[in-house]
Amino acid sequence: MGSSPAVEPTVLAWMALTSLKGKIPNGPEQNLGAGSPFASFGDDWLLARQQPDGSFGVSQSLASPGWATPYAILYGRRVDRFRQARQRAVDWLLSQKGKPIPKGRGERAVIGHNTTLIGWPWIEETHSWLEPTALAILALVAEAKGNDPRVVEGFQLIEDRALPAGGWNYGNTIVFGQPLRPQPGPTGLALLALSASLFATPRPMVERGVAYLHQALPRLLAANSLGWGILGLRAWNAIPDERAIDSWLAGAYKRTSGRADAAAGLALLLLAADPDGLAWFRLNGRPRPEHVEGVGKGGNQGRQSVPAGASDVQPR
Amino acid sequence: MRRRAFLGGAGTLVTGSAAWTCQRRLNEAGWRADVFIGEVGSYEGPLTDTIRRGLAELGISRDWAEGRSILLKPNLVEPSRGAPQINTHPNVVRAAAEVFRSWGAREVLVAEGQGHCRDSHYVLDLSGLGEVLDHEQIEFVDLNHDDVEFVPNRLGMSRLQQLGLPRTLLRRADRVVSLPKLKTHHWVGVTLGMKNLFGVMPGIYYGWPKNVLHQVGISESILDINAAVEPDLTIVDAVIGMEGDGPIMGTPKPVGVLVMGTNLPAVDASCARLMKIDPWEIPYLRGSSGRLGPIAETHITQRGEPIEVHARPFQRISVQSGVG
Repeated sequence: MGSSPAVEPTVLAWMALTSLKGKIPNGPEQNLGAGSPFASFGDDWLLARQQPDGSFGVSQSLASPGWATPYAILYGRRVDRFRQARQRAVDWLLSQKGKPIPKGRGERAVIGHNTTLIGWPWIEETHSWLEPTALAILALVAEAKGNDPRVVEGFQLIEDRALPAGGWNYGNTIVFGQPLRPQPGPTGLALLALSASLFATPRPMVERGVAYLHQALPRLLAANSLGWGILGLRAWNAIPDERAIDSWLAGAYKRTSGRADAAAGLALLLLAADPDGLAWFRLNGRPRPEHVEGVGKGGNQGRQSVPAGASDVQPR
Repeated sequence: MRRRAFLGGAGTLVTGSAAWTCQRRLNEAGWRADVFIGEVGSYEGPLTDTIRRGLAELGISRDWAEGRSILLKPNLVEPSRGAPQINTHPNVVRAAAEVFRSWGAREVLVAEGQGHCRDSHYVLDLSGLGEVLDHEQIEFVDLNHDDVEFVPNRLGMSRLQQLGLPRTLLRRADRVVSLPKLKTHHWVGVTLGMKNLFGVMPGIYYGWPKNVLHQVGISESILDINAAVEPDLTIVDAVIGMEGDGPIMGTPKPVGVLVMGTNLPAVDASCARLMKIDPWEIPYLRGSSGRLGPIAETHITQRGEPIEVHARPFQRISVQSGVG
């Protein structure tokens, strides 16, 4: 039956194909780029998704919610026509706040994370979660809003949602006293976002996330999770072995190609395969962080709350 | 009587008056349903034969499926290897597909819109279901990213005016079969056939997790969704259930049976009794009584194995609201 075009896979596919331009002799992506009919059509389609309030609807058939807006901002940075649209989108994104759960309510007794931190929700007027917060941070830092108090608090939220044993999931850490399981996609996205911070990030937290990905990715065939995971490792210069990465990507490509819902996954595999793919998620000219080694389970247990200093990872 | 009278005062109703329970049973007096329990022992047991026997006991024959599109909705709540208590076992999905295909179904789909992990194929791979779907050449539809169509919230238990449902479910599927696990649930008591339909709601519109539905009331949302979806059948994977901190972090609880029926409140009530939990204590089951089906023992005809033979106490924790 299929589904109508959506912003997230469209933008990811566009990023991946544009990054490939010039890298494959006579590849179909040669027709891409500013001024080409294909590019113009894609830009028109994406701009048509913008709503009067500045948000971008998630798909051609859904004008809301606006959680895909960060993707449009990240893509639009390279297209002059998006200048005004980007500004309106940034304003809208900064106006969006996750709904905190005040301390003292029953839920706080059983939910391990700090429910009062304001990040970004998937859907307006609901609680903040890891992935929309990470995406918002990436878009806003790329728009030179890295010092905005909302972004700073967003980083705090990501750090708060780190799992005790390493990695991240959708954003629940401990519920009813039990630590939940990490997932590679959110872990990669969290590491990618943390690498964009203008401030120090606790090194053990990054190391545990990297270690989790080093352990999880080699067995992974799911394209979206693998793609975000590798991007997260690249963001911290923590790729163990480029040849191994090629092998992982090949396995996931084989498993994914031909599926009706493959677009976003294949795009993420391309972005992960291409060292330049990371540039879509970074402030222009920002250097990559120092190399980070993963640590094994049991190492560096416990989250450290440290100010910017020698023991922290300084991704600048 | 409006929803708040049924769902809001959980504490009052749990300690409940005999008069209230009596009134509820009168309200569902027009409802009758059959529920089948079949022993299979393990996931290597006679799953296909048991499903066939159950369908026969429920009066369902080949023409129910022949020429139709059958949508199987398993419970894939969490990506996890080696934890058979979390997700619907692949062998149960395979057995159901085999039965409906053998009955001449035009197509059998597996569809899910899990709430805690955006990458459906990661969940499929870790649960083992992905390999089965590939081998059996069964199409998977990611309901989280399906096109969304809006229908009026006809039951109106929550304040939602309309519900966004996946087009595949509304336009393509002729039959919707819920394939849940038998589990406790830390927010709403139990998760069975009715709660499993939370997973048809597209994440693209409701988020991951589906906080929009949590905020208007999980129990109320379960009732609204079931009234809108009108599922045709449920086959509960109660071979290995979950007790304690369900629906994810609980511990395995073997029961060794499949539970089947066409009326989901009745099936869920029988499952609750298998878990030695009073269905009248579960807010959404209580709310379903007389609206969507019967949950009183006297209104449910048990077929196959008796409940008493397989019933065992499930430990649980419960808080009646929350996020995540």
